[in-house]
Amino acid sequence: MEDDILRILRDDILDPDGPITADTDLFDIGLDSMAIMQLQLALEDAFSVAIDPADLSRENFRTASMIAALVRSKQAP
Amino acid sequence: MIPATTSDAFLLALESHMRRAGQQAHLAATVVDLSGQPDADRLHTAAARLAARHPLLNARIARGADFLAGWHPGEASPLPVEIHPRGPLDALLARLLEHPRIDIRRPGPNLELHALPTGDDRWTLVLLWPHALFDAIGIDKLLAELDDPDESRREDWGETSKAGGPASALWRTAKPMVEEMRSFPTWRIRSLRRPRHRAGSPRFQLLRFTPQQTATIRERMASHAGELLMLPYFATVAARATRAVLAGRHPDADIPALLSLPVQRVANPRKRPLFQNHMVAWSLMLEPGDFGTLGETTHTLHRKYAAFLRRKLPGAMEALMKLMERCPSRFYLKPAGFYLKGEICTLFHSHTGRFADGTDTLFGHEVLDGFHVPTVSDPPGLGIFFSERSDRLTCTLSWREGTLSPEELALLTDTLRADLLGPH
Repeated sequence: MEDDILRILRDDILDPDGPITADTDLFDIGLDSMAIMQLQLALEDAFSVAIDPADLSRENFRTASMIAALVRSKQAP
Repeated sequence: MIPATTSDAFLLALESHMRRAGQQAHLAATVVDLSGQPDADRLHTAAARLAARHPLLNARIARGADFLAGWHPGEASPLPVEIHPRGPLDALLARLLEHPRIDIRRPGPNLELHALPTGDDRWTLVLLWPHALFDAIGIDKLLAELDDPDESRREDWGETSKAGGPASALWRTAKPMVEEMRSFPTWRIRSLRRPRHRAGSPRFQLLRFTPQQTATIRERMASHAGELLMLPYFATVAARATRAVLAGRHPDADIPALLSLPVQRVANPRKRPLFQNHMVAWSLMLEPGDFGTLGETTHTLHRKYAAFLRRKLPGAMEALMKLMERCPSRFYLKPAGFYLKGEICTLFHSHTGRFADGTDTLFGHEVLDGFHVPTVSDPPGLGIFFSERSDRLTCTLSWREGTLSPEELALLTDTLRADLLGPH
């Protein structure tokens, strides 16, 4: 899942200058308010989950690993 | 000739409207507070190097025989540099914006540098620029290289819109946005325009918040809307303040807010040109029933952003702008004006984020603060713009003389302050 999230971030959302890893601080490389809204939709489409606005926090979106944890928690039955 | 971008064509149409309505050129001022005192020689040297480096700083815009607009570089004449006597910033800005010399339709400089000593160890640099040639991200990039010693000519321009192909395909792509626009007149869109009043000179007011106030504003945003919903939150704050004024004028009417929100086409600023406009306007409607608490309205607007994306309306808007690029400027805004009974939107608004992020010094002086002061057209007659620097939020209110009475201006600022900082 982390790889899929990294691909979405790299290709569709951020277009970063260099490589990003699961632990890269996404706010340091340009994850702003507009990018968050785009990412929310991309995650919902890619993983068939619903992400509540209350989940849009720095704690959940700082790295691809943290985003993956959020998505997994939404997929859990 | 350098082709205008589709966003330039929109800005050119807006400027054409402003000139025909006696509202002069569509300019903006960028204000940078610096430590120390201005050095005239360094400013003149920087201005000469900028002009040598960037031919678009001495270009004029004109439509060709194919109706497409293009920038025509002229002789690299020096950019005006003026050192002003110590005095208030507001007075200088008012003078510069009220009596502009920059004219994008004629050969000559498209950038002016003004230095204003504001204290014993503090001065302010003001850049004056035409909005058809730059957007705020472009100006951030220009600031980053303002005192660069390089004099070699650069070609830092180009289209970033991917819209293209035959007109029939563009129309199919654009159609959802056209249908969306046709739905806007369901509600009577109002702005601060006074139909029987000719709008006057540009006016502005700055709301500059301290770091402590800015921290309070962030905390309130986090508690009302969530810490990452900055764009819908500040757009909601701007819409609520404008609506308060409109409700005062039309106490018996249902007041919606049609927001025109500029969104950068390229996510990474380093991967876009310095010059020209690279924004797509997202038109989002807050209906009268959408206005609840600050948090509720922010979440409603957030859902509307999401719906705009899901329905692929950004791409539809890109296609529409591509279709419109050959449209003579005087007719460009006519369809919107027809459907919206003379209006364009309720207000202009943007939050451009961190001002000149990464530029910590200029001419050897520390950058202490900074923000933009764009002029606005009437209609809508009002713009509410935000940016941040060094943990300080600045709100620039920009309007045209006659669109806001002193009492309405007080209501606007009081409403903004109450939403941003909380009730007194």
